[in-house]
Amino acid sequence: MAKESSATFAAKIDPNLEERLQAKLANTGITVDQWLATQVENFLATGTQESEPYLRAVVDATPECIKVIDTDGTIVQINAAGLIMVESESIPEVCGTSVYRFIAPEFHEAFRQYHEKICRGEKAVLEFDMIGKNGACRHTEAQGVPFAGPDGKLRNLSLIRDVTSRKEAEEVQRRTTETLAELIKQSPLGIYVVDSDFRVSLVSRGALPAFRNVHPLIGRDFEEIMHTLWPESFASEAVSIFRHTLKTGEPYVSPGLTEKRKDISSIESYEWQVIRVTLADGRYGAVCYYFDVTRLQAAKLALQESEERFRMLAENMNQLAWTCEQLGEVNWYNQRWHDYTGMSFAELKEWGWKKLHHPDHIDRVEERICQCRERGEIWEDTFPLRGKDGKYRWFLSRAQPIRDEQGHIVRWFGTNTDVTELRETQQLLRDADRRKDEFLATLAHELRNPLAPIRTGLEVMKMAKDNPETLEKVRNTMERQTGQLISLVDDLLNVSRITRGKLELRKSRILLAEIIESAVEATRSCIDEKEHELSIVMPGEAIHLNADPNRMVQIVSNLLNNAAKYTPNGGDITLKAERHDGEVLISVEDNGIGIPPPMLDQIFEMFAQIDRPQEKGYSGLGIGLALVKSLVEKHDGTIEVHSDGSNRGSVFRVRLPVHPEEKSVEATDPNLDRIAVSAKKRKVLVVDDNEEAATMLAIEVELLGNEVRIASDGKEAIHIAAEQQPDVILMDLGMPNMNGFEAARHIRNQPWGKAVRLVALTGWGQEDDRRKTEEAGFDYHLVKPADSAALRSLLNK
Amino acid sequence: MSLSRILVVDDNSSSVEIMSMFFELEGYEVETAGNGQEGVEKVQKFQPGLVFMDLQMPVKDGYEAAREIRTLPLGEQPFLIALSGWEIEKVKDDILEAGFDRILNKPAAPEQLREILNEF
Repeated sequence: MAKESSATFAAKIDPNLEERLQAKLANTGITVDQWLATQVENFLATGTQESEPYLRAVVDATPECIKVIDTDGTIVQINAAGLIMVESESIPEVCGTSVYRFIAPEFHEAFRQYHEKICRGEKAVLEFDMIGKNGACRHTEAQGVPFAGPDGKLRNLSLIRDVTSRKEAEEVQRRTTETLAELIKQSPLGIYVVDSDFRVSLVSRGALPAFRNVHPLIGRDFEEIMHTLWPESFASEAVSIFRHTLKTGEPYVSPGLTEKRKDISSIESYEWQVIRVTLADGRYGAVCYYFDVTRLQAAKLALQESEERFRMLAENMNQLAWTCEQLGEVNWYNQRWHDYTGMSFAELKEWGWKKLHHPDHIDRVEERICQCRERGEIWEDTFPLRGKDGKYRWFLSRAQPIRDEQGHIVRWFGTNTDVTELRETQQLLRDADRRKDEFLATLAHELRNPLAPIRTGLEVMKMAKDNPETLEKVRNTMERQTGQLISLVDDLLNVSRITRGKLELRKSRILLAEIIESAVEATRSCIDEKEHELSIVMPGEAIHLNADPNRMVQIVSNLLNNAAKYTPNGGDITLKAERHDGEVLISVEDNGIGIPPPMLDQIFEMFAQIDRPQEKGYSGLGIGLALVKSLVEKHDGTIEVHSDGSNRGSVFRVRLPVHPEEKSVEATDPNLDRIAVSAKKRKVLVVDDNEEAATMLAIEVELLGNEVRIASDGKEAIHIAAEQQPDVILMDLGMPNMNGFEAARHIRNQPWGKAVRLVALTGWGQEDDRRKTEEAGFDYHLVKPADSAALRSLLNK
Repeated sequence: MSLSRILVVDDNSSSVEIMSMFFELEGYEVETAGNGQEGVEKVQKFQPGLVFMDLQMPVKDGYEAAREIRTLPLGEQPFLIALSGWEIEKVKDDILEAGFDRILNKPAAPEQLREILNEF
C-alpha cells in the first residue's frame, strides 16, 4: 500500500486522529504520516508486533466502527466502537462470527456485493442498516478498502459510521422544509420567495392571482417577471429593493403602492415587505409578504371623494352648515358660519356656538338638542343667532343623524337657514290680515252708525205721517246720515282706486272759492250737528287751480269732517286759504282733541287709526287722511299736520300750485270772492228712466230757481229738447229705447245742440264710461246720487 | 225711577234725535245725553226706567258710564240697554260685565226696540 493512502485512511478512521497524533509526536520529529505508515505497516505485517497494543488503543479510541472481514464474511477484527455498535462487550463473541448476523436482512445482498467488490480489490461504499445483538437498528455508512490478510487473500477493512441521527436530522429537515413550503404554498396571503439565484422558488396560493400572467412561474427570473407585470420604473425599483435585501439582510417595508399593471392595465394597490431568510439549500433567499389593498384603497378613495363632494356641497349651499359626532358637539362648520358669526372654529367648536344664542332661547334650544341626541331623532328648531354685527337673525335649524350599516349614528349633519325675511314677511302678512279683519269690522261699525237713525227714522215717518213738522225733522236727519254713508262709500272707492293705481284726475281750470263752497256745503250738516263754529277766511283775489274739482272738494271736506269729528261739541274750526306766490295754502284748524306726538308721523298712513289705542269714543276707518294725502300729492301738492299734543287741537296745511296762467297781480273780481253766486234762471232737461230719481232731481233743480222738464229715455229726450231748447241736459246713460250716449251724439248734431251743456249722470268708478261719455259729446259728469252743491255749481257755470 | 221714562245716550245727535222721536211716539217721556258723563248725570236727575246707551262716546264711554250707574245709590236701578255697532259676539262679555242688561246691534229694528219696551 502506498504511504499517502495510509494518511488518508487514518483521516477516514477518525478526523481527529491526526490532531491527536500530532500532539503525541510533537517532540519526536516524526510526522504523522511517517508514524502512521510505520504503524500500519507494522500492524499489517506482524499483527503481533510490539506496536500493536498501541495501535489497538488508537483504533479502539476511534468513535467509528472498524472491522476487518475475511473473504467468507467472517469478522476477523473489530474495534471498541464496533463492539458498541453490535451491542457486544467482548471481541471473542464477535470475531470469528459472520458479519451478516449484524446486517438487516434486506441489506444482506447489497452488503454481499459491497464485500465481494472490496475482496476483488476495489474500494466501495454502502449505506445499510446494522442490527445489534440485542436488535438495535442503526443506519450506517460503510467505506471499505481491500487489504491482504496473512494468507495473501484480500480482506475487507470497513470503517462503519453510525449515521442514524444524521439521517433522522436530514429527514426532519426535509419534512420541515416541505411543511414550510406547503404552508407558504397554501397561504391565502401573498407570499413568494426569490432564491439566491434571483429566481422565484415558492409562491403562495394567495400570490398566484398577481402572477396569473406569468407562465411558467417557479424557477423564472424575478427581474423578468417584474418587468412583465409592472411598468419599467416600478419594476426596476422593486428589483433593486429585492437585490439589496438579499445582499444585506436589511428588511424593506413599502409605504404602500398604487400602480397600473403593465400586463392587464388595471390599477392595483399593495402594501408589501421583503425580508431575507435562509432557504433549505442553506443559501439566502428573499421573501416578499404583501397585501392586496386595491379594494381598500378604492374604498378609501371613494370615501375621500364622497367627503370632498360633501364639503363642496356644504361650502356652496346657502345655509350655514355643520357636523357633529354627538349632536351639539360641533366638529366642523362651513365657511358661511364663520362669515356670519365672525368667529373662528376654536371659538365655536363643540358647544362654543351657545354663545351666539339669545339668552331667551338658549335653554329651550339646548334641551331640545339633548332630547334629540338621546333619541336619535331629527332635530328641528327656529331661533335667533347673533351675527358679527351684533344683530340677531332668525334661523330655521335642522340636523339629521347619519347612520352606519348597523344603524349606529356615526355623525350628525346640520343646517341653519336664515328665515328672518320669511318671518318678517309672514308677520307683515299676519299684520295685514289682522288689519283687514279689523278694517272690515270697523267698516261694518261705521256703516251701522248712520244706518241706525235711518232705520229708526223710517219707522218714525210711518208713525208720524200726520205730523209734517216731525216728518221734516226726520227727513233732514236721514238726509245727513245718508250723506255720511255716501261719503264713506266714496272714500272707500277712492282708496280702492288709489291702491290699484287707477285714480285718474280730470283736471281743469277751477276757482278755489267754488271748491271751498262745495266742501263747506258737503260738511255743513256734520259741523252743525256738533254745534261747531266754522270761520272761513278767503283771500281778496280769485285764485284758480289746475285741479280735478271733485277730488279737490273731497280733500277739503275730508279735512273739515275730520276737524268736526275730533273736536268736542261746540268747538271752533277755521278754514283759511292764502296765496303765497305760486302756491295756495289751505289750512283747517280746530281746537279739538289734538294728536299725541307719536301719532303725527303715521297719521297719514292707511288705516293708521286702526292701530291707534283709540281716543276715547272716536272710531273711524282710518282712510280719510290717507286719501287726502294721496289726492294732494296727485295734484303736486303737499300736506302737513301740526298739533301741540292731546287736547291742544290740530292744524292741517295743504299747499297746492296755482294755475300756471294765473298772474299774481290779476285784477281782482269782487264777485268771485263771494261764496254764493246768484243763480241765473236756466232751462234744464232731466232724462232718466227711473221715474222717481228723475222727479227728485227735477224738484231739486226747480227749487234752485230753474225751469225743468223731464224725459224718460233718449228718444223722448231728443224730442223734448228740440222743443224746449234747454241750456242744460242732465242725462242718465243706461236707458231703454235710446241710451244716453246715442242721445248725446244726436243732440250734438242738431244746430241748437252745439251749445247745450250736456251732463252725464254716472255711477262712480267707471273711468271707462267717462272716456265714452266724453267721446259721445258730454261736457260733465254728475255722480249719482247727485250732490246738490255740485249740481248748483254745474248749473251756475 | 219710572218705567215710563227713557234716557237715550249717544254722541251721534241724529241717532239721539230719531230715537227720542220714536220713544216719544210710543208714549214715553224721553231725555237725551251726548256722552257717558252726561248720561250718568241724567240718570241721577231724571231717574229713567230704561237707558239706551251707545258704547263709543267721547269724554266717557258707555262701559264706564254703565259701571258708574251701577254704583249709584238709586232707589231702583234702571235697565241698561247697550247699542253696539260691533259684532255682538266679540263685545258681549265686556258689555254684560260692565252692567248692561241687554245688547242691541245697530241698526236696531223697530220691532226689537218695541220688544224691549214690552219686556220692561
